[in-house]
Amino acid sequence: MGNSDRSATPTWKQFNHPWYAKLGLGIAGYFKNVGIMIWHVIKSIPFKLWALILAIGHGFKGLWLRFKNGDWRTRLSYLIMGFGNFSRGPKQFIVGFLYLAVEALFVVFMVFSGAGYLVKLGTLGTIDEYFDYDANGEWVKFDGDNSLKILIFSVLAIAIIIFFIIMYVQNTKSAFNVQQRVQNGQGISSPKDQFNNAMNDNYHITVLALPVLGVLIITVLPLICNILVAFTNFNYLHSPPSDRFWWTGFEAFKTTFQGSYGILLWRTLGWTLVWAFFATFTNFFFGMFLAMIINKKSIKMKVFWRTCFVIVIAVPDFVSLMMMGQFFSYSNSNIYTGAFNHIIIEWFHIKTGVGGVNWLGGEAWVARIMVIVINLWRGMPFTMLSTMGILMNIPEDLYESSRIDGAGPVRRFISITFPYIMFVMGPQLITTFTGNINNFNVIFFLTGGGPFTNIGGVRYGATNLLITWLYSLTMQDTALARYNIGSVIGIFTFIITAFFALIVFNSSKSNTQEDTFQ
Amino acid sequence: MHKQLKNHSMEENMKKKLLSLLLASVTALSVAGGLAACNNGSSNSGNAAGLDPSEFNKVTHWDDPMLDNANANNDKVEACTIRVWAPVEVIPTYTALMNEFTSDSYHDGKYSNVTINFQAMEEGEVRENLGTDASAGADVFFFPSDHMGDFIKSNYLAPLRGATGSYYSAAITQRDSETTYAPAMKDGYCYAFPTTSDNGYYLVYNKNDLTETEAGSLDTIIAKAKTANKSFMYRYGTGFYAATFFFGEGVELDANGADSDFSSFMSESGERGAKAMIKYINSGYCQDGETPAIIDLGANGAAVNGIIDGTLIAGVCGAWEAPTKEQQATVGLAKLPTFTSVDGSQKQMGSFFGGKYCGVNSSSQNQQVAMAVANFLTNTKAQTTRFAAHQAGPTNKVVSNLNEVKENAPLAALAAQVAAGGVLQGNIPGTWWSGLETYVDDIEAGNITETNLGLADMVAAMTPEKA
Amino acid sequence: MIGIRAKRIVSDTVIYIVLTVMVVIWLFPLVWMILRAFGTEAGNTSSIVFPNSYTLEHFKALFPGGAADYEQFPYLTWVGNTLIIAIGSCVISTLFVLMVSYALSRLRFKMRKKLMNIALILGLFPGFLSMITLYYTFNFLGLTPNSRVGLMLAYSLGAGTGYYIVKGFFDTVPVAIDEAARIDGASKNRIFWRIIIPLSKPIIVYTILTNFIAPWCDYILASVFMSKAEYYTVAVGIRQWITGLSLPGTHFARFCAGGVLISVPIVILFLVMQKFYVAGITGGAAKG
Repeated sequence: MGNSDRSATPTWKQFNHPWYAKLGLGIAGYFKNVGIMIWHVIKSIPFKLWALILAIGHGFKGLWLRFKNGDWRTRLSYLIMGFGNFSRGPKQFIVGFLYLAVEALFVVFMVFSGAGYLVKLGTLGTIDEYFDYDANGEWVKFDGDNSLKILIFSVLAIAIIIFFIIMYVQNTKSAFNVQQRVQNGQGISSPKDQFNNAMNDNYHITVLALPVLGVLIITVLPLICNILVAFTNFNYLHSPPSDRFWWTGFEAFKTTFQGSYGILLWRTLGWTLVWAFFATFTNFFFGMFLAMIINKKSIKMKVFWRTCFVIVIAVPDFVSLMMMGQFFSYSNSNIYTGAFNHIIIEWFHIKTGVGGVNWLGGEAWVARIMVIVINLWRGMPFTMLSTMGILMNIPEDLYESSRIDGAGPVRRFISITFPYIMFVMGPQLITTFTGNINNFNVIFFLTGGGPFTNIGGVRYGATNLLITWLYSLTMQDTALARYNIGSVIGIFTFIITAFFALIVFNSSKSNTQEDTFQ
Repeated sequence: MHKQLKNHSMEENMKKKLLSLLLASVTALSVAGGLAACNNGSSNSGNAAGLDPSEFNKVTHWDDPMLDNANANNDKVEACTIRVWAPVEVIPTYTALMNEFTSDSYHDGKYSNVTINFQAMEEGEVRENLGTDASAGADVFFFPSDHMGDFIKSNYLAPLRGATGSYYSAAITQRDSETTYAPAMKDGYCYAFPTTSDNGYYLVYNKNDLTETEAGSLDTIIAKAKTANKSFMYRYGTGFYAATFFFGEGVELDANGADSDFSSFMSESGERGAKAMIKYINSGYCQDGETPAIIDLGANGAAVNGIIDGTLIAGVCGAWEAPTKEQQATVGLAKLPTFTSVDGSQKQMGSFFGGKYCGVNSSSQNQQVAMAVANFLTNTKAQTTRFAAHQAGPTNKVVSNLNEVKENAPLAALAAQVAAGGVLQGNIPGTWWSGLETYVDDIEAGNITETNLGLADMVAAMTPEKA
Repeated sequence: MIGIRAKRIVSDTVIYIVLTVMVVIWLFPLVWMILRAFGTEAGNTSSIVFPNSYTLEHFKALFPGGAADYEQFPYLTWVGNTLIIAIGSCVISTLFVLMVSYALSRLRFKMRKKLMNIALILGLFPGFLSMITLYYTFNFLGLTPNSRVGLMLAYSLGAGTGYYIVKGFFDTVPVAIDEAARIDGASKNRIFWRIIIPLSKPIIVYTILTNFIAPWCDYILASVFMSKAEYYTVAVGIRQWITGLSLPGTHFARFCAGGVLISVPIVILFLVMQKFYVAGITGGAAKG
């Protein structure tokens, strides 16, 4: 992000436009750009589809041509993968047998696992778990169809089939390639050549293979499964292994967007955005302010001041947040109330009500302000730390030339310091904003989403973010879990975050001008 | 079991049976005739409650599958680890019992290769921890009676068989009272070992501040609290306690798992209950203006500790946090008091009663050993030991009939409360608890007032959605 | 001139006062936690701000033999688990991030732009959504429940999507260096390990630091993956002491002690490494 500031040498007047004007233009431009982008995406769908059909047709054509022009070894590769490679001598043994292994593993997986699940994907299973007499006449539990496993392993099987098809096509290409090289007398590549190739021309495959596989397993596969869950009735009444669930189309979407859930969804979204805004900008401005006063030339013991604040963020946040939850606890009695209330009553004799104030579980607005304040306590030193890093890098001559031009301290801040900080931190600010939309820990450990109230028969937590609401709908109490609605909310949250992330994408120069400075 | 609860007369019947069990000092117990108590004199145990040592060793052939059993053998079982989830406070007691179970002297060391691994887990949290993947759960776990229906529906529980058919199920029907095992019966098998019968609460009060008569009226307690500048502790924010005024006004609880229907809360009696609840929760502060007349303290032991240290005048106390013999010098025990209904009459505060059970995980790899462990932790001797250490109310008919149990003041107070206003804790869906607790939150926040009772919303939140 | 000097003294004094007040506010809750950890009062219900007398008892309870219920709450085992998981996931994550960043920054290939966009979008899906599915996928591979390797892989395998910062740093290393090496006959592999990586020390330390600390802070995934006390991580383990009805009344001070003990090494690590951390979050602006 924002790496251009190091290579370009800006003059201070470059930043001379009023920042608010730039901000306004930026926002207007953003919405315009998002509109254009969406239009482009929609417009390109038919073309993309056509291109896909063409590509598939092309693939089949290639497959057929290679078969037609291939010799018997190549043709046999269509049945026994890798045959065209390993039958042509020891140099191609490794490649050939790898292809063969892929085929063997694929067949084994499909026969023993994949096919069985895929067959049931349409119904997601037909039998619930049940008790019956076993062969010994004992009354025991028998497995039913586990809908969740069927869903997950069907998706996995489809992924594996796609992978296999790619490998299969590659295998025919490889066999044909070797055939041609032999025919042209070019000689076959040896394992050493293949290794060198992997370290040079195909190095991107070498370094990306494992990380991409990891992302596929950890992120993509579960993600697809969970999007699919949004189209089922997977909830506490239909919860595997004891009970199966099945496809219900858009029912979960209807429930989520209509009635009480609908009201809650928009309210929770509203608070999520308010929270993300304040959590981001309070941290940013107070952190910047703190960094600047510590950084003031005449202030001594800079390291000491900085360290005091850094200690707060270095404590793992589950410790500091759970501790804060206890620190601000409340009871309507001066005796049993929490430490902070004791302090304001006994040390400062502030009469705020018996037992002090119910900071985290009382009035909605108090709890909401408190989570923002505690988030400030926890997050501000981060901004302070990075701002101090940036401040040290602002070229001194910028200030010198501005001083010569007669600019005062306020003017210097508005014209140099602030734009400079924004230049480096700006894109990150929006990343932080999307991060705060999904900031689970602060809410979960402090209020658990509360204080709660009943809205039209559904429990509404005043500090619940979409993400903590999703958590309480799916993970908190499995006897109340509604995974399908959780999935819908997850998709909804994604759309919201994606909307804001497009700003990063849009505004980040590093994405479009990455080659400029190399 | 669900049908039984719907049937009102059946419930009354069960209630009476449980009463007869708890009120052992009042009614003579009809102990099953075939119950032959025989000593096997196998070991010695600690004795905290002044119990006759011989009581610990009463083991019948329904307590130990290996006694009087032609098919039983003492062959060592293969080495395995049995994980047990139990509440943290009983782990020391149970660890001692398990040391005996795995010792060489118990049936020639039949279970000496077995390792027992205890993990602290409150009964109420078990359901949540089995939810993601029950097969990752403990082999043996303790849970409250209101989760029974969910556990049976979710197939978490293994039917209790024993090496020779339905031995354990039969043993339970012989040694435990019918009220306690009936909810666990299905398909002719019992699915959990009854463990305690005391999942309920009663009143504790400071004998120096209140007489027994004064402790019988909530208004008097609060009035006295206000003059003494002390609080009355009542966990109205927790679902287990919060329904007391509804029950007191006679609201019926149709607790039937996912089929539950709580429309009875939207009746006139429901409205009276809600109004009483609003009135008492908002009953204000003592004369100094700082001590609350009613206070909600979550931690276990809060009521008794508060009375001892002088901050509380009285409190509602769970059976598992009962005052010890020494504490009973200051702490008096009684049924819950009566409250003033909005119609002006005095009504008895209602309460839940239920029990705790010990289940064997149906996904356990060592179900037979796990059942032997669960049996050992809930049989006559185990219940005697747990009563001696924690004053836990037994489900076992022999233990219930011990003089010490009959004369135990906390259990007597519990029995008195159950008789006066107990409501059987059936198969209550999770939605009910959170719906009621949110309702209390709304009362505290002032969203629910006498003019805006919002009972329909509460019932909507309490009732699980169908399909 | 005197006016300006007086003004500076006043403004400095104000700044010192503001800083002092802020430091007190910022550190007070931590000091409170530390004192409670040393206090004789074990529960969170006692009506005190600071303890009346002090003891090491709660720290002793974190070690074997220090408390009667140590077997149920084996703190040292939790620390060990977290350490193993943190080291393992840190190694894998760092390697993955560096490899992906190198490929996306230095190599030009057909799917490059598409991969970058997909990674950006994938990073936006809330991870909670996937937890149960991930649990069962790993279950199939024998990596759940109660597997340290499973949790380690769950934290690290998806690290590739977090290439953004490191790639930004690699972008600033001049391509001319690569080209010179290529003329000398170095392979891309060699350039990556021998030239780019040594030049990127600050950003690598940043990556290692953030990836090492992350597992210490996660609660949810660890709580879903681990069901046996001896496999818990510190976060899952010590949270038991302040939840439920019976434990906070007796174990709150132990929670504080456990929290303090685990925080000390992490705080020291962070303080020593903060230079690199700044380099990371400012995109290398404070290089070196």
